[in-house]
Amino acid sequence: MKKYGLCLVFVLIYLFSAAQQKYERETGINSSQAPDTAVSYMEKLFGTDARVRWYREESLQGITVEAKTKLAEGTYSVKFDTTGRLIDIELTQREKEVSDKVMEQISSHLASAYDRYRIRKIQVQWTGAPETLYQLITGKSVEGRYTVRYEIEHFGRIRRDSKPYESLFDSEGKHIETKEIIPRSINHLIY
Amino acid sequence: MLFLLVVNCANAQNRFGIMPQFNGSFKVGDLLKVNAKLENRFIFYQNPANDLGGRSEYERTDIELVAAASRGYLKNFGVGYLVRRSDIDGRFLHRLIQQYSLGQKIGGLQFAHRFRTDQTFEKDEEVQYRLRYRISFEKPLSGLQVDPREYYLKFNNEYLGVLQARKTNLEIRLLTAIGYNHSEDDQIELGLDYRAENIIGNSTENLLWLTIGWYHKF
Repeated sequence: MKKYGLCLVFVLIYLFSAAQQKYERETGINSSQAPDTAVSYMEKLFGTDARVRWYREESLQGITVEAKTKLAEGTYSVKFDTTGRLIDIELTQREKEVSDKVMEQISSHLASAYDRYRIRKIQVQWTGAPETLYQLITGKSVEGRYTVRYEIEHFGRIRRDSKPYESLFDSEGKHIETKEIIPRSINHLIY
Repeated sequence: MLFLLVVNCANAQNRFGIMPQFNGSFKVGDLLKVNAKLENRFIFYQNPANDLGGRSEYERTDIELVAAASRGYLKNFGVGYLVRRSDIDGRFLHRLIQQYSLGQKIGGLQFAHRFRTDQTFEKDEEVQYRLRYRISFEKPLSGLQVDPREYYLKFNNEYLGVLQARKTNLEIRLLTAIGYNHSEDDQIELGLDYRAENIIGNSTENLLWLTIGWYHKF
């Protein structure tokens, strides 16, 4: 009985560790294949002239539609569900664009979690009502409540083994979760 | 450009053929990743013709094994061995390989860099030493990354410095291929591989190969 209990613990550990990995599959789509409400929201946010690329993304959490556009301040990624309901807005940022206090918290977490680390990409993530986020992105006075988080893609080395990860931090830089990114094999590029 | 290369190969004293290859990779424990490659070459046309006056022939078969560390300080460093049977005289050639490779993602492009040194041993020939660098990248034909059941474009460019019997030479290779990522474990590619050998001196050879590759992860 003790043996079965031990097996169950191993199975649970395996399932838990699998859940901490990031799987995504995305395919490019036309704007005509995106929900109408999502297309109108993007036009409202960035105007009708903005060059927007649309993607259909499958992950363990389900299917989403993502719109990406590159502007002077960075690349915006706006995520919707398949009915066109807004999920979140992300904007790429440089380290110096994140407040010192938040960056210190993030760096301190990464320094304690890994022997060495290197940040690859920072995205600030906003969630809230579509109208609130519209006011925020377009620089109007914001009336509603919204949440700020930071999504960091980074490499982390633990005991001589370096792997890519994606970590999420709250608005103050407090760590929320980390997922290991499973990179695609590049054997066909090396050999 | 490829058309010009084909014309160039047809006019100069050069070779054109097909180069099918199979690459199988597997892990040995947690520390090693092994890549085994089987590659053949069949010449469809060559100018000048061979000693028997033939324009087409089977040329050679390569078997290559490279073992690379998959973690630790030596991650991405590898060593390997290649044996080649050449049909010209049925002789075998042996090659030792040392390499370092790394991947790099920039936007939607996946890059790979490979640095290699190798030493080739052949009966009645001086040892040949080569220093090689290859840059490769793939571009998904749909979306920002190559997912299962999607096509991609692959490009690679390699420079080889050659030293043999105190003489140096240079070789440049270019490959363009279209690939199908059937799953995380299988990729199939079809492309054209152009090689300019013995660039220094008057005996430059142009080779153009139609490549068919299958990469499988066990």
